[in-house]
Amino acid sequence: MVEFRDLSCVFGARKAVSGIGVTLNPGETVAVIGRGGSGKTVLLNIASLAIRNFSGDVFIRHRPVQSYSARDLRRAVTFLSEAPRNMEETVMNFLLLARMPYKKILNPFTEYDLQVVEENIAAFSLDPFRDEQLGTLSASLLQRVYLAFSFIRESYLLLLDNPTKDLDLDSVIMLQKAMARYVFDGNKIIFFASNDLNFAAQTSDRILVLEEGRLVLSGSYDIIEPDTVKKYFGVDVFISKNIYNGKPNVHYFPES
Amino acid sequence: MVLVCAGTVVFSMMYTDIPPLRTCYYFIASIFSLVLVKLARADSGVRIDYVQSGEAWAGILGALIIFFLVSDNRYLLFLSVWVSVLMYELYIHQLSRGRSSDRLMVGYAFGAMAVVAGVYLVLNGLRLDAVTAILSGICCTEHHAGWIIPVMVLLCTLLYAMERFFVYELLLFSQGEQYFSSGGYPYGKVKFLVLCLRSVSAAVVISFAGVLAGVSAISIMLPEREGVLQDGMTVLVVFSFINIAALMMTYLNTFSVLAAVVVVSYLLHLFGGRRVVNG
Repeated sequence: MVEFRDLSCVFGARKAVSGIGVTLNPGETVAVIGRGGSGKTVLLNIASLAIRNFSGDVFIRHRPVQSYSARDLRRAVTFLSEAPRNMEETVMNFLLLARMPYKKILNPFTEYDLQVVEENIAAFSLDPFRDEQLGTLSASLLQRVYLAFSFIRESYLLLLDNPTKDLDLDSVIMLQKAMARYVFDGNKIIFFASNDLNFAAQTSDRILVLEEGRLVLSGSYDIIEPDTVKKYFGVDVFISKNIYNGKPNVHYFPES
Repeated sequence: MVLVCAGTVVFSMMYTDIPPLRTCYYFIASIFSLVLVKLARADSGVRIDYVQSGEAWAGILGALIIFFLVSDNRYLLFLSVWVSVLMYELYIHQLSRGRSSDRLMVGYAFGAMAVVAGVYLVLNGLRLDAVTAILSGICCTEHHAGWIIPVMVLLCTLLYAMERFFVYELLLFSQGEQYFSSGGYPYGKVKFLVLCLRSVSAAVVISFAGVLAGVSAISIMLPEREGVLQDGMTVLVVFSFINIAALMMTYLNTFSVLAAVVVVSYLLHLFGGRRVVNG
């Protein structure tokens, strides 16, 4: 279980997040949505301790996040907010690096490490590109590589910031399947921020809505309604039900 | 490649007055240049040689100043080369924050500054033969204590072994602080260690081969394969180039050969070292 208790963070005079309290349960996929600047990414950064100047508490498996050693924290939480610096590296080598928190010093990667990498290479259809340098890939392929990296880490809490960024439709479906597999055994949690309401509605078990750093609404995909979208995003929408799973599909009116 | 390398060694022993000990120093410099190439994996983006990166110029400038102002003691000169390179490394990494394009530009600029400073020192009384001695390896003489070679062999073997054992740690380091820390490693401490190791390796190459190992930029053009055999090939290529340059220095004007080696080094890098990098 992951608990955020009364989280607040101030940047200058602006409250980036304010008084947020949430519990994430194992096996859950939770989306956080809201306008740009509402505090979604800040919340992910706090959860991964990438931002440390916050008040309140983050508990992971009933332990304060600050009590984790650097290595244990990276096994417990994965959050990639930066692109890699060395774009000369091959896709395969880069993905192997995701297993570094598990690798014993001076020992090679284990069979299991290689197996996890291969599974995710297959899941994100990266096999033809395994020997390509990162710098030669398109934005969509690169995003798939970054996503595969995050999934390969197999941490208890997987944090994703706008995971559908640059993805084509085919890749979005790969991502949805990978997310479903990740939490299937009920031992892990995915917490992601998204600007894509449809993706959030289709993929998550629970949705949190942030406005100006405050948690203003929380619930299942049912909270995605025209009134909610109008109130928190200022946009008129029409919502239909997906004929496959009954979850909401948001349709935008260009003239609105 | 082994035959070419052996040929240059035999030729230099039979037809020139280059002492065998100096050839040994050139070989050590070749191995350290391989260590430098390997440590370059810790840097992101375009791989650059120690001449293009400006390290060679920083070390040579440090040695020139100490030679001009203080002493011609070889050990002091080696120390001045190492300290100059280390200071330059710390400054450049702080300045460029790992951006290789910035490092390259600063390297070019520092090279130009070193040339201007060298000309200034020569015009103010520094002997030209001292400049050529420093450019071709100030410590590459027969006047060392006997323990230098085994110590250097041990050191380069140790560094090479470390690079092979920690190859994935170096790759992770090259991806930046967030990635390296995510492996549970202390980024700041390892960064300082890498800079120290790199500066020691560069100082040994500069002290034993000057800019002659600048042709190790050729290794950037070699296929990037793993393995001791491939690494051995890189060492032989660099060693052969140094030997050929040293041979030419015995028959032609030393300064012209050194200048030609520097030009070749930059040309190799310009035409062979650039990679397509996104971002």
